[in-house]
Amino acid sequence: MESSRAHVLVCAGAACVSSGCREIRDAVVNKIVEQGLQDEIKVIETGCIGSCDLGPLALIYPEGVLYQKLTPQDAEEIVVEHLLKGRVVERLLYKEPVTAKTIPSLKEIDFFKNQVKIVLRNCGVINPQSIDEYIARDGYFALAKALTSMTREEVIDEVLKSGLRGRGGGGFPTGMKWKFAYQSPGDVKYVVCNADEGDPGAFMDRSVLEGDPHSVIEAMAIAAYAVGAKQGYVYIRAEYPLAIERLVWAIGQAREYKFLGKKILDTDFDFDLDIRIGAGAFVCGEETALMFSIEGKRGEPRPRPPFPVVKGLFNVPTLLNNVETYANIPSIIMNGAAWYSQYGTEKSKGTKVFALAGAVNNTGLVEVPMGTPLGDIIFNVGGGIKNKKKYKAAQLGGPSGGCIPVEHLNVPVDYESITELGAIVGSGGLIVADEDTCMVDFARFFVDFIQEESCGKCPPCRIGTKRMLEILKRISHGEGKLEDIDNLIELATRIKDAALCGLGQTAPNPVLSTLRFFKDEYVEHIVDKHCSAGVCSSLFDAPCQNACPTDQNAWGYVTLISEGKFKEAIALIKEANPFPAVLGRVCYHPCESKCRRAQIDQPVAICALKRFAADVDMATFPSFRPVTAKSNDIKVAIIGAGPAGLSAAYFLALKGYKPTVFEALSVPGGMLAVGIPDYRLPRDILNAEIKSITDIGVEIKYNTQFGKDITSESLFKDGYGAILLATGAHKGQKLGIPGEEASGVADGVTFLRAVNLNEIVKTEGKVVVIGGGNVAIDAARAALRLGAEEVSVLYRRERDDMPAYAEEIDEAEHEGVKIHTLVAPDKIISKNGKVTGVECTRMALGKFDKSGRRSPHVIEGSGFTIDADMVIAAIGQLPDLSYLNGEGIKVTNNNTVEVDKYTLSAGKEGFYAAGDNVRGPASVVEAVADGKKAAMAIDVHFGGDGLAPNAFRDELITMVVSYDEAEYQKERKRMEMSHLPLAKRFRNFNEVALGYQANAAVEEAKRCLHCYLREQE
Amino acid sequence: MATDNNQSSAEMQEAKLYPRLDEIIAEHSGRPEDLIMVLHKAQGLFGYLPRKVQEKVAEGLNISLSEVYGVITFYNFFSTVPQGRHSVKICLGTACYVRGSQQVLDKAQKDLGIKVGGTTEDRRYSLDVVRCIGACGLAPAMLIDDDVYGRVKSTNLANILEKYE
Repeated sequence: MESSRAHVLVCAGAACVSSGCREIRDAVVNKIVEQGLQDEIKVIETGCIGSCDLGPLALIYPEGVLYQKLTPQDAEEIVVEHLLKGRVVERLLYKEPVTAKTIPSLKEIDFFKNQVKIVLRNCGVINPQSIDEYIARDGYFALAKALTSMTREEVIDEVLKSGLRGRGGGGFPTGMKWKFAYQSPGDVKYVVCNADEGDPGAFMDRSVLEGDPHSVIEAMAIAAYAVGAKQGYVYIRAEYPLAIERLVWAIGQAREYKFLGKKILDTDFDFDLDIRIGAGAFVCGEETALMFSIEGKRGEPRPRPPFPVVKGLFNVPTLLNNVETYANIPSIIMNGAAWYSQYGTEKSKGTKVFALAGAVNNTGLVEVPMGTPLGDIIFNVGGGIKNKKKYKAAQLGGPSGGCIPVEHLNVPVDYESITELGAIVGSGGLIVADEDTCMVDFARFFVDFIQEESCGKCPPCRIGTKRMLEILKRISHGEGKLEDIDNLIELATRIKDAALCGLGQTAPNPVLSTLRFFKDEYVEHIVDKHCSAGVCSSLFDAPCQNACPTDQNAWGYVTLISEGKFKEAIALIKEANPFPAVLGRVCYHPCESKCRRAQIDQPVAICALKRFAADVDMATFPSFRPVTAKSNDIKVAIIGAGPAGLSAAYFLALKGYKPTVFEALSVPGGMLAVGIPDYRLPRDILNAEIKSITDIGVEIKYNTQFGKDITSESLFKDGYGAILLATGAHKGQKLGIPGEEASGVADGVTFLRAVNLNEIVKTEGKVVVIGGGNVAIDAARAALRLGAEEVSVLYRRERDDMPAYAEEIDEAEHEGVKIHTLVAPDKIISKNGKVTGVECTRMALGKFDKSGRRSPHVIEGSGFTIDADMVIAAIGQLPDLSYLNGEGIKVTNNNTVEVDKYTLSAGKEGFYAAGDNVRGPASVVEAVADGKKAAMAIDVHFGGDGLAPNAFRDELITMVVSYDEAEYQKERKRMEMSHLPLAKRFRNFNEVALGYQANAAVEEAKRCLHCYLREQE
Repeated sequence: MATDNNQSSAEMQEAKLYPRLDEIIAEHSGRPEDLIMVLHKAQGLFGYLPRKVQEKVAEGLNISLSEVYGVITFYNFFSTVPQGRHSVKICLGTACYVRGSQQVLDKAQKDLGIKVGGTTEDRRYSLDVVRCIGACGLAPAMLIDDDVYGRVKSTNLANILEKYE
């Protein structure tokens, strides 16, 4: 590089070009000229810097400042502020996805700092169109070294000793291949570079050719020297026009500088290179097919042996390596095998480039030492999963590879370890799938791909994959049978054994791999006809309804609200859910996380719209009352008046039963009443909703404890036909640390119950809450409202790991609650039996646990004490099943009732169980869903049809709206709901979230994309 | 009638291209291994590979017409039917698929009123899928002629398409 005061590197990888980097470069150059800086500052177009997701981007040296997501309008600020005045433009810096912290320097960004660049050493650093810049970075020195100071055998030996293995996917030792090609007799030999990067999801070869084409040319010349070839070919796919353009240019330059041609570097070595362009056939990535294609023929593979090193292109010995393999060679020759083999594991040396894509925050190219744990690549370099969704699997190796599930995030990424898990390192495509990916559909996707790309030469591949595809399609349409799983495995095994080439032999891998780790999903599709990822659309009307445990027809009521039909909306809602006002406030709304609208801007506010419909109904007289079936006089006893019990009672009443709910406390609602504080769920709203349940014939008996006041014997004697246990999970878990028996220490549920029953009306001093779930956050916000001067929450992992709802954590902080993450309590300190503080240690996160979260471990010597006048331990709840003593009901190791998955039958005639006492502490909507499910099972037990009401669906499914839909399908953020101002929350439990007004609700509802409307085939 | 006119004018256009084709073939004369390169160039010229072009190529490179046809039908890039003025290719590579390119494809089919592999009546667009264009970092991606579009949303598809007359 010439001596300039500063360099502006503009990434011109294909991804950045498509994002408009050229316009940015031009704008920057113009501004530089405008400011008269053209002699001091040089603008360079480089190859791929790697972080495609941030593009278009620019790097400014000497500081190494990275500016991201640029537009041409940003040029002025960069030039005037940064280049002229030396002030970094904060606005354009990279922001850390989790903490939103801005990071100025490339070296400090996680994406870059965890990488080791050998293959990509020049990508994003030099101008790929300038051979001088390549030479300035020691380019062609390795060729000179090989030609002038090494014998051919020494070159091969160096490659052999480096431990380099084929990066195209095979993993065969490169040095061995070179040795065989060298030993193969023949006057004419060829070296070939496989740049037919067809594996969907891999783009490292493209980036190397675009960003550093000379490294491949140099390596091929070295290889030609070693094996004795005079001619080389680069076979490159037609889908990469920019790579072709840059390679053509680079070959021309190399010829001009005499690195190609006759008597290279004044030695006797002659070598030249030509390009052959593919024509869109995946199978041409297979080496024998590729060589036929170079010969101008159909790219059909042939059996091996003979291997190409013996009989290859035009029937002569041919050395064939992939782009990334070649790109390693110059560094190995320059720095020696020992230097190279310091990276990696025992059997997998060096680095590997991965194309990180899919549901991950930082997509792009990353180069890491072999053996780096998979989780580190995805969560450190990749910055974790997009939109805070859950990791489901990483797909490695494309259509020949497999999936790695959450329980294996610690696997070191090297050839052997990955193969053990049924995937392959392959060419390095690493696609991250989140909870929105259906693994059956994913397998179908790959088989579909293979089926289309199968060359058709051998029947196992041509016909076998077709049969597999048919089965997979059947399963994803809900028409599968359980024996299909065995058939798939059988077919897969046969195809693996019998197919002619690598494409066919590996084609079944994605199916076998998903069957190995995600068999449950196959069974779910086959038996339950359900796709919980919300992908297989033949199995549902719309993903929102599909995601709801209660099967709530969300699309229906949203569309009805958009048309102002509020009455119809509540009638529809109450078909599936007796608690719309409650769930419209406290639901974690899985529907919204699957809403298709999120792909445009934000999901429709489905939950808040439900609340709106319910609130409107509640304010109407008379409010909606569902029609109940004619009474059948069958009495059902329900133990517990929480959401599960009351929902079961509601659905039983709808079906004509006579349910009686027995409640141990003096108030109804269970956790809704004694767990959730009023500022989230006002008591009058809850009571009004419970009244609408008792209004249709549900009786509640208070202060009646099962096992004490009543028993199954007494209930059956009184004529009850079935008993449903819905007693929740109300027993707080102990911390299990010394000192917790001190006065002033309470568990979260006990504290909240006392607050909700007005037994605690005041908190004083400093309150420390331990835990990260909703109970912890509720307790913290309640303590603050009751007068505590300071409330702190201690959580042992990171904030993103907290199970509490994000919006609740945000509100808590907004109100002044202090959240301390990566802190765990060691000991409760007390004075005269009264708590005074908590001894804590700081935690660090280490390996991934089975849930995909990093396990916290103590940082030695990090102990500190936090003062406390009250400590609330909210680290989990358990069902208290002591009342079952003697009833003969089976209890699991988790202290929950053991039930049949489909009927919720508790194993003993007439007994059912639902809600938290089956699941452990879960959500309200799941409790409601369980109640509904139990009611339907009880109905079947007594000879009913077991079908929940569903009167409106057929009419709604073709519902077309009256407004201009297109207008609402443009980008348009969701309507904001107003919140109680902070000042008005002080020392009271007034409701914080205030709901929608009618016009806002209608506007919001119009954002629905109506994805239930299907094209009529 | 109008269609007939269009057709004949298209044929006249094509007729003008044959001398250039002859030149291309002459450059590779007698080298059957250059077949794919010649077909690339010929398709670049005509937009597709009509039978007459195939015949000329076969003759010039000294290979049988069936072999030429065999190669053309083997590779996805070659087409024996006329294409639209602009080729719209939605990437269905894995990364794009995971990021929702199926919905983009559905929308494109709906907006253009054609299925994958089809061409609009006015010959403005041809719609196809591609298996990875290497723009995985910008998924979902699509290709219109040689222009790559990243982070495509079904809502801005129409705006992008409009730019291509």
